[in-house]
Amino acid sequence: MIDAAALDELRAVAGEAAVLEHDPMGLDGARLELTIAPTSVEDLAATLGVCASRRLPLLVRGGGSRLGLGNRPRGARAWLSTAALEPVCEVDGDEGVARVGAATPAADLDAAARGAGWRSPFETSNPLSTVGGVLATAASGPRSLGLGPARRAALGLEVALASGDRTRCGSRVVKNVTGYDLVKLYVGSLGTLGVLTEAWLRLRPKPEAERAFAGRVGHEGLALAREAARRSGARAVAIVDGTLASAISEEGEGDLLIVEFAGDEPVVDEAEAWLRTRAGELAEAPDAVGRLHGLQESPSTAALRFRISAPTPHLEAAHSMLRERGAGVITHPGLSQTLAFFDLESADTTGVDAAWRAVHAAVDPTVGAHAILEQAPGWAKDGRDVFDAPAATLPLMRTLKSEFDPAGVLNPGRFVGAL
Amino acid sequence: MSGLVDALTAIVGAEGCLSRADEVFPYECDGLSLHAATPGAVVFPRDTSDVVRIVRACAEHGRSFVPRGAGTGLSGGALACDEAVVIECSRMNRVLEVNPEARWARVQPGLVNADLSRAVATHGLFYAPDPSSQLACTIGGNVAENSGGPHTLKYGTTTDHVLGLELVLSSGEVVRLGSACGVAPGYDLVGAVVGSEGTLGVVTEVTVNLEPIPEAIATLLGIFGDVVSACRAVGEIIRSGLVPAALEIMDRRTIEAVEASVYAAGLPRDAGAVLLIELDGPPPALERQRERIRAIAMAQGASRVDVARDADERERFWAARKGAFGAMGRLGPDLYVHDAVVPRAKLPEVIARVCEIGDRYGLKLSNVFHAGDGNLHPNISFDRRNPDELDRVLAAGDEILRTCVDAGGVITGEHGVGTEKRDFMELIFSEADFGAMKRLRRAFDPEQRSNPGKIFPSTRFCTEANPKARGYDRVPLREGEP
Repeated sequence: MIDAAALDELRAVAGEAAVLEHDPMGLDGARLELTIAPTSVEDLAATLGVCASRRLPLLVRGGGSRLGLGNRPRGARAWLSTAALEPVCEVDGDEGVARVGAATPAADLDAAARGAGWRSPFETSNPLSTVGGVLATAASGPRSLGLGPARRAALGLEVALASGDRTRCGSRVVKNVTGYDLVKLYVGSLGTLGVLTEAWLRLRPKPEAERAFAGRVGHEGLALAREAARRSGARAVAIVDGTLASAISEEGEGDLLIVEFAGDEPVVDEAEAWLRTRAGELAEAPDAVGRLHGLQESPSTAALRFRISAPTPHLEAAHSMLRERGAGVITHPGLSQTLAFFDLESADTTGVDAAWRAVHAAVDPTVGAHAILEQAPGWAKDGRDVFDAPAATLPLMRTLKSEFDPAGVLNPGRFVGAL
Repeated sequence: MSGLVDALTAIVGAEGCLSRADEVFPYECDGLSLHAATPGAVVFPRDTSDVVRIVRACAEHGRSFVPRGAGTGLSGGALACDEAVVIECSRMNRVLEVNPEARWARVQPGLVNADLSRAVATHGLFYAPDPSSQLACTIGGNVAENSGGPHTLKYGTTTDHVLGLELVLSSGEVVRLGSACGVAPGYDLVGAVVGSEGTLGVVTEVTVNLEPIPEAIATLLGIFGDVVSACRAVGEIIRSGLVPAALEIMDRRTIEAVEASVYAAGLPRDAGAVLLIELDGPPPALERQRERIRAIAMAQGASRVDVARDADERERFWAARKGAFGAMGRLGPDLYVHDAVVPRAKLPEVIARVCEIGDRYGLKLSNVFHAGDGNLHPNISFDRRNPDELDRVLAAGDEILRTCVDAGGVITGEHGVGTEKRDFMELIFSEADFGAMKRLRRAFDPEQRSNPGKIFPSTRFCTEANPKARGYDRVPLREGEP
């Protein structure tokens, strides 16, 4: 229970209606009976100040679409939700940038960008996704091959620190070395250094042509996918193993190759012509990438989802090895990533341990490869760092965390090494 | 200092440690000659273990240190404030490993930027960030400043190309950050270190990604009657969604200087400005893009748009562009190269205001800049022997930066803050913003011994770096200067 004095203080800074007591809402073993949903950034910052001074640990959430990412929380007492913040979304079509609030649904950004003749830098498969959540988790989908990573899209951020300070870093211009690049530090930090409240984003140009193809391929699929990913105009390239592929395409058997090109018409024409000479049986499949994204993000695809990053030559070996060990596998050669899916036969650690063993066998840290357990039931995270972070950089990261959040109130336990 | 010099000499040998006043004099400034500070010593490590021992020796003697590449920086970032020890990385200049399949290279920080592209060209690859000083500047210096260059528009700046780093902290601890596949679990410490101006430690190894050499390149030269029209064309190109590899503007004064120099490329001397446009990619796309850009430029008042006929002409255009700063030596014995960024749609009004400021202060101001990124480089040619002119140079520079900030811009796009702009930081950031930056600094360097006196508004550090404080106008010219 949170004591009455703390509740009174929270209501005083965030407003009566923004502090909601409710039945327990769980996350990976934590059961929280309070949600604070400030309606302004000022109130949110003040709320953080109160929580820090009272050492009241929080779990920060946006739309909640990626809450599964992270270690089991440690000692959290309340949710801090950005959902009630104003969903700002201002697109500057002359400049190809947008000012967006953290609570703005990523889908709204996409619609606004399209309305101004541009495209969002993010792709989302979940309508709940917010811009703040995408940035905090550095979420990326299959099209990040063409769209680029989230860290590159963010030009400037406003961040409320645990101290209650409202801060700004970066700016709205596309090139900037004024001061430390804290933008890079915050993106992907899972809300453990501060709460993102607003962002300036670089939009992507609207491509003249977009064309996607899908079809079953044989053992040559991986090599073909790697080649396709290096073609001009490649926006998304993936090879999906046969066991998972039926969720995207019911036709045929074997691995499914998905390729999407975007760009100037002649570039896409040329890329398509190349693809047809190499894999003539591929058919146009406009929704294939969207379905792929939905499949790989869906919790119902499998109990465990690992994201493995490895340099290209090692990625293919990891793909094959994981297949042999029974994982469902999706490989994005252009992103240097393989997703491995494992089902669990029972709610005990036997299957989880086996999955980690399979992943570790496929991942060679000496070449820079590593794996993250992105999705799993809470109990399956017990006693592990789902980020599998190498010990060497953890002391520096701990120091950084304690500098930004000395009271340890922001998502305690959730990030690498249970920070 | 003598005890420290003995310790440093024991680490790098007598030939690797300079400490006499005449020896360290060349290291008193970088490319920003307005600011200077005399190092306590200059050391030349051969490898990471040398750097570790140097940093520890500095700690034992309570001395700060400053990592230094080629000294081509333009913001005083390599100044040895507080008689710091300069760690000069030119002996750490090797390409350690190239993985052409995965398209990355692991290099030492003293490697010259252009040498990296040369080293990997046989694999059909190149290193994309290309500052104008790329024939001299080093990868380590590029990491410190998050350097850009003309092709930033399409390829991004250094931060978009660094996959991993080896860093020696001020404690002497060695940490490896990032990974060869571009992502590593946890905070993006690589992203935080790139552009930190050497204040978080000494970078001793850099893993960078490499790009495939484009299938085809088209270089165009739009000829305009004035620089404002050229800026409008840039705005229209950006608005159209085209992403050229480069969009560079040179104004009339720059053209005159270049055409009178060894970099002469046949640019029209009667033009008010030229817009250098580079496209790269598959040939069928280039043809269409070329025509779209030509149409936009003509609609914005270009008198003509020439296309480089062959690789030689293209190289001449780029030699003119990249040699422009050198050519400005013809306009005056000293050159102050400014660096600021504005939203691209604001370029026409800001560039007009910049020219007006130069005229009002009676200065020779020329513009050669990365227009596609909104990155201005107003260059002021002057003679530092004239104290009144120095006053006007500094006052005009102050006004130019404030103009850019008022337009929604920032005070540096690629040169860094260094000592030059630390006192302008308050135009952009609040106390709380500085507080967040200091948290990062403390995590890496709690005693602030790595490159002190940079980025943050000045307090006790480096008062001699201020050109007025050190009476720069009274500094005698060196032998051989005009």
